[in-house]
Amino acid sequence: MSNKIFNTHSFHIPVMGIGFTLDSPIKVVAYGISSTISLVDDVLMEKLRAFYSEKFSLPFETITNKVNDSRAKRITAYLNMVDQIVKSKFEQLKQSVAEKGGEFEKYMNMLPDYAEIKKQFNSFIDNNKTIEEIKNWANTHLQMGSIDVNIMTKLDKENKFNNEKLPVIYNDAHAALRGFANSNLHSSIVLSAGMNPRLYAYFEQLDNFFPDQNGNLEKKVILKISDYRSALIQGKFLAKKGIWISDYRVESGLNCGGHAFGSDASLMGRILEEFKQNKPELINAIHQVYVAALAEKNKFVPAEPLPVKFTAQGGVGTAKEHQFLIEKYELDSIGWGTPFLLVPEATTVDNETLDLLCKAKENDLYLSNISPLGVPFNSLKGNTKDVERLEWIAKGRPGSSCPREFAKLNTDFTEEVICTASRQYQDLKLKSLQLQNLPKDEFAVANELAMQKTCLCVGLGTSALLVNGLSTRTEGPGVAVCPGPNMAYYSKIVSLQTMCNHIYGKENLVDNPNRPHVFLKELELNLDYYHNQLKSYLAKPTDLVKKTAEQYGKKLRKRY
Amino acid sequence: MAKNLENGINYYKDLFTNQTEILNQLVGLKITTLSNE
Repeated sequence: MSNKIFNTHSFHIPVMGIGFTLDSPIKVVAYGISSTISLVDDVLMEKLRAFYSEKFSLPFETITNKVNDSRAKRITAYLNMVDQIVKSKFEQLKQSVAEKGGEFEKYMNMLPDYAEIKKQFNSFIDNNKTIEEIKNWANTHLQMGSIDVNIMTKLDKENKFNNEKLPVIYNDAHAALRGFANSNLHSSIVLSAGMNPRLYAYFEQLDNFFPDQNGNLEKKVILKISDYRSALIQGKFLAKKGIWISDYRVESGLNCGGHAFGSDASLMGRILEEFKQNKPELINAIHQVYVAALAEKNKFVPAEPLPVKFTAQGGVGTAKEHQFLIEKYELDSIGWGTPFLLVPEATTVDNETLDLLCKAKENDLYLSNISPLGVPFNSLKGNTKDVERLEWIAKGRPGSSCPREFAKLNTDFTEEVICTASRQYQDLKLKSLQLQNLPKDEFAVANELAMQKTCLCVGLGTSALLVNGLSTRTEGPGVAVCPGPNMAYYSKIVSLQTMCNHIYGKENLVDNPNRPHVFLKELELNLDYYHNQLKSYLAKPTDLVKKTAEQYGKKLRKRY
Repeated sequence: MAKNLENGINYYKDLFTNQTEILNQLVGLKITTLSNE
């Protein structure tokens, strides 16, 4: 293994969809595994809070829409409940040292052999320490994972209360950030999908993102980025506000689940290499900006840069790749997302979707047009939300009733923002297409594209309701699932222990011998993406685009 | 975009110089993809 020291696990579970990892921390964090909660849907969180409060006999008082700042308050309440349950499970785990097959044993078995905690434990066994001695050690040395949260920074819809437009701090992402800030968690918020300067500026108003007198951060920031330049720009922007990035998380643009960002075809290997080569420069450059900002705000100013992690995720699928990335690029953790959709002990996926995922082959996994955000979205053919969407089209009522409204960002036909997956939008869009007198083929394509938009606010969360036996009366039963292309190489539901064994090379779950290396899969996806871009450009070429495309095509053929 | 792809391919050629299996995947990938162009 690398020279890096890992106390516990060297992987984390990234956010998946809205509901798939909403309760993952309850399932895995006590075992030292970090996982991430999506902060998109406070209504779903409230439903799960009611469910888990009953399950764990915790007090519950509903937070209705009539309550001022209800979104932030629901998020805080949910996160506090998760924190409470996880801590309680962890305490019980620490007490189970003497139990054969108990939680403590499970904790140890799942750790990699190079984890410091496991090495210490093994040395105790070798030295015949007593149960009491091991219990005392476990009490002070065992570590939980981190209950992290994720915000898609651009999902920041304005809100109203009693028909009055609310100030910016009540926008969706702002309220979610406040909900996290007000929670008891000592963990990180993952900022994904690009920069939202207004949201970033709001961090300045939240005290627990600043270092205390010992230089510790109660709440940390993980920045999900796709290249070095973006890390530097966003890192400096936040540093100017007195906010430190504790983890630069590189995510593959296309070889990942959910929304895909393949705009400039930067490949993961080179990006990671650039980070590796420039780590000290990046940290020092941002530290300079950071200390100046803290001094100006009369906050504690750390003499040395605060700790920074570098992590990566997107399409990693074998123990060899996991180890290679950690060693070659000196990374602190690798994100394993998609394969965990087949681990019910870690994620929350309904049976029908699990079955589809197990059977999925390369051709079933595709970059779709279904997201109302207008960003390409990795999806699975035949998912139950798609079936539901087609049923509505067959009934002559395409579109969704838009029960959650988080993706209301379009004003093409209305003064008020609406969602492109909504029935209201699709009705207006289809009528407008009819008035355009388009050629038949062009009309058919435009019509189909408009109706492909799917209600992801609901579809990506519903599995959490189905699995926990909660009503889907408002939402409908359809589940939209968002696996990365890596899903094609896994075909069975496994236990958490088995998945850990796979990650650390003790078992192998990849049953397709033709699975390409993670970097080459990403390259293949980028070449496909590039070719599709070329095709659409060439269908309506400008002279410059045509010339550039032809030149590049010739160059590649000549060289390879 | 094209430049980034080209740089990425060259980086992988160097990175996997001694790993025949991966290098073969790289060569195969480019041939099949470019022949579709």
